[in-house]
Amino acid sequence: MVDVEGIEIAIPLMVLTGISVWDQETLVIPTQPDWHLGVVQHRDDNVVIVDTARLIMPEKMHEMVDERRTNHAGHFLIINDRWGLSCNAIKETIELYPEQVKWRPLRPTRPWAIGTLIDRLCVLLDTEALMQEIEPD
Amino acid sequence: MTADVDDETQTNDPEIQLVTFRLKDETYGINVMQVQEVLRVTDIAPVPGAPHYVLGIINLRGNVVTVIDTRMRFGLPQAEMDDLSRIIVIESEAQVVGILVDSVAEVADLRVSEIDSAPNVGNEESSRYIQGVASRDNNLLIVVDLNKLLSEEEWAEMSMF
Repeated sequence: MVDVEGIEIAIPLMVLTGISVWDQETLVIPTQPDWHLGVVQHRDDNVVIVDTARLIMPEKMHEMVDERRTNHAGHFLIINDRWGLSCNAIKETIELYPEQVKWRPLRPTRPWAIGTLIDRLCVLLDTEALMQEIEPD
Repeated sequence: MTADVDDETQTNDPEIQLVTFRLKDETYGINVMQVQEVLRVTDIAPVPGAPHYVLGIINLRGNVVTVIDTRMRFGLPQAEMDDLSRIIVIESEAQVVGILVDSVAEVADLRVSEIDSAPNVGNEESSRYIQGVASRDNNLLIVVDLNKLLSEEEWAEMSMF
């Protein structure tokens, strides 16, 4: 469970290769899309940090892009050796069973939302679908 | 003879019951048959990426129910929720959703003939779900057609949060 700009989000641990505090120097590259917060070195990889909040709730993101790149979130979730997802805090790890989720068999909108955790009323993120939004096949 | 006339009146001019609620300074009515229950406002969890008129979701006895910001949908100014605020859980277009209202008033009996079509002076978006107006106790009541509160696509989306 992570916090993204005050919203609780569930992300399956199995899709992550790591979680890191974001205290490394960040290379901000000009002319990148709004969701591109910069590149950090993590182990031997150059990882692009994606602004998770801007992708999943653009309607709530009123800050300027520069502001979000300067005062960035405190952590990132490592998807693979190229991509990381920003998040403000790591909350806790929970065990989840299929019956605890209201699944979304059809996803014409918000394709990255695979379901809702019924007890916690938070979205279960499909990282693959989210990455498809920025890097389609 | 009198009974026959009464029967005929009821057939041609059926009585309906409306649950009435307040939004800003006006009273609105919705068909009681579409109301499942009325709730005090509990924790409404925001939904990332949801349309602006979706306030969030609630857990209603293990079911996830989407709550619509009725003021926003009606183009009214936003207001803080208070002790009188209620969520009316309704069923419409085969979906169960909650609509947030300022307060719930009463159940009103009304004959269909008492509902006059509303003068259409609003924009098409906000006036399409106004079924009409009815005079009641010297006050006007706005009768809402819940089925038209959202478009077909929007209703379908309500079950996907």
